[in-house]
Amino acid sequence: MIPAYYKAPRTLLAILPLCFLALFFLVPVGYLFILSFVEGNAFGGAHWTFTTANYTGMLGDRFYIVIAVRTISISLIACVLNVILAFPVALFAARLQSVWKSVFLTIATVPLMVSNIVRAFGWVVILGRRGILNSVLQFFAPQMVLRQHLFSIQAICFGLLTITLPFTIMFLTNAVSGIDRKNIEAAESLGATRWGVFYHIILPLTKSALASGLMVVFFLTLSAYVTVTLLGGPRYKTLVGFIYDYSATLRWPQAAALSFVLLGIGLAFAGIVQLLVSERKK
Amino acid sequence: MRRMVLYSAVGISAFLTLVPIFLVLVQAFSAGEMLTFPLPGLSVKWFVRAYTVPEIRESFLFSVILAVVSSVFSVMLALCGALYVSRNGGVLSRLVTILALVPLVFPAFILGLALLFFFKAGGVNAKLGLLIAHIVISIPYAFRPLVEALKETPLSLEEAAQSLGAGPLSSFVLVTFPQIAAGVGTAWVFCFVVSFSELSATLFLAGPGAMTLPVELFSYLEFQGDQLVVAAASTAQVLLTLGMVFLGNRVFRRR
Repeated sequence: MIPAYYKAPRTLLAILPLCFLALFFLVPVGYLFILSFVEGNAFGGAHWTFTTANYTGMLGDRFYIVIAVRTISISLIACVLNVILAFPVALFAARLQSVWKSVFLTIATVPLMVSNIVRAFGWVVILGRRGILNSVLQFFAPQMVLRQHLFSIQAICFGLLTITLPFTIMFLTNAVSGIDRKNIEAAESLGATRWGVFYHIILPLTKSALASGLMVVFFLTLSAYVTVTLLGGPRYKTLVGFIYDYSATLRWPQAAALSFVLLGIGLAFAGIVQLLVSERKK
Repeated sequence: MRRMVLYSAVGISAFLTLVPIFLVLVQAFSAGEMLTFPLPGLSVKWFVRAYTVPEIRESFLFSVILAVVSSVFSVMLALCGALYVSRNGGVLSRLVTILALVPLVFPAFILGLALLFFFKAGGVNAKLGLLIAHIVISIPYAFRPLVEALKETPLSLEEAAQSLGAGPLSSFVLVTFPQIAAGVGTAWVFCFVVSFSELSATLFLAGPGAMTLPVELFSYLEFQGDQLVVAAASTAQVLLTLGMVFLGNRVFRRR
């Protein structure tokens, strides 16, 4: 039996982190939301006039539509490449013995502890004008004209895969390892092909892990400012690049509105993925 | 055929995730004047040069201090929440769980922007702002291992201590804490690593006198600074992080 007078300090245990996170997470995000409905030019002064122009202005502008389409396309490409690469890796890792599997997972997740700046810089080292790729090319074909490999969509995709692959590999490896071998053996003994086993057994049993992996990939790539800036350069900006520019040039309401557009895109994707996953259940 | 598909996927994934980091580590030890492959020779001169750049030296030190201080705070806050959640049910418990885990999925980039505006409005200085941001971002990484560690400890021991007359504080310090010490250590290492490599939110909140190493390296690269200096500083960062994780594993896994 726990005496009643212990109850009070216990509630305090919950109140402390709750207050901290409410004050420094919920309130700032709420403030950002309010700010996105404030008139742009009046900010900084005392005019807090309500307007939806920060949002409607974007919808009417072809420029923003192009940037939004580019942002979404890059994130979708990253999602597809993640699935194509991570599924075979997970199937490979799931068959390893337990010692080797934990070694594998350790190696696969080490990159998560390395700052994004270092991982993006790794691609600068490889693809830059005076980078490793060019010095290897020059070694084998001295007469070749050296190109800049950075500042391209491919460079962005490489950089984003470096950031996201460890997550999908980790999620899918754990999910595939959790499948009972008997299910697969049963299907095989009934004459299922390898592809049939994958489609009818493995995919349905790993789809919730796949869904959470895809959502992580999508959100991470949507907001990967540093990777996109270093590897895409000024030519291939995505929405986050404009959020940063607006905040740097003190156009705060626009930056706030664009942030919520970005969040909206992410939530829409998460909703679609959830819908697809639950649809298949029937 | 099937084998080949699997092995090539493993190979490509390993290349994409590990090789960029590995090459940065290798180039940092170059004896040459610029990026070349293969290396012209080995030396540590780029580490010396990185150390002589005052911005890099100061931001490295600031990053370490920030990571140490913020991880202590986030572990303490997460421990409070985890203690409550593991001992109580109800709305408050669910609320703590949700709020403590939300920063994990919420884009840190947007949180950084929100905190920037919020701190500007409230007149919070850059150092305190960074500390708060890093605590918020690393709380989920402490909360999860702590909840798991507390789930594994039987409540009966704590109740036994309390029925024998120990107060809530002494029963926590003498009975509960020793059981979860390994979890607390792991949580602290996680938070340290998260804070030490955090870049998205920090980008908005860092400023003169409150510059972290990742942000400093980013601006150094943007203004076409010497790449091998960046490689050396990056290597120092990676080695410190991996060293922390390795030490954490050695010290806190032992039960």
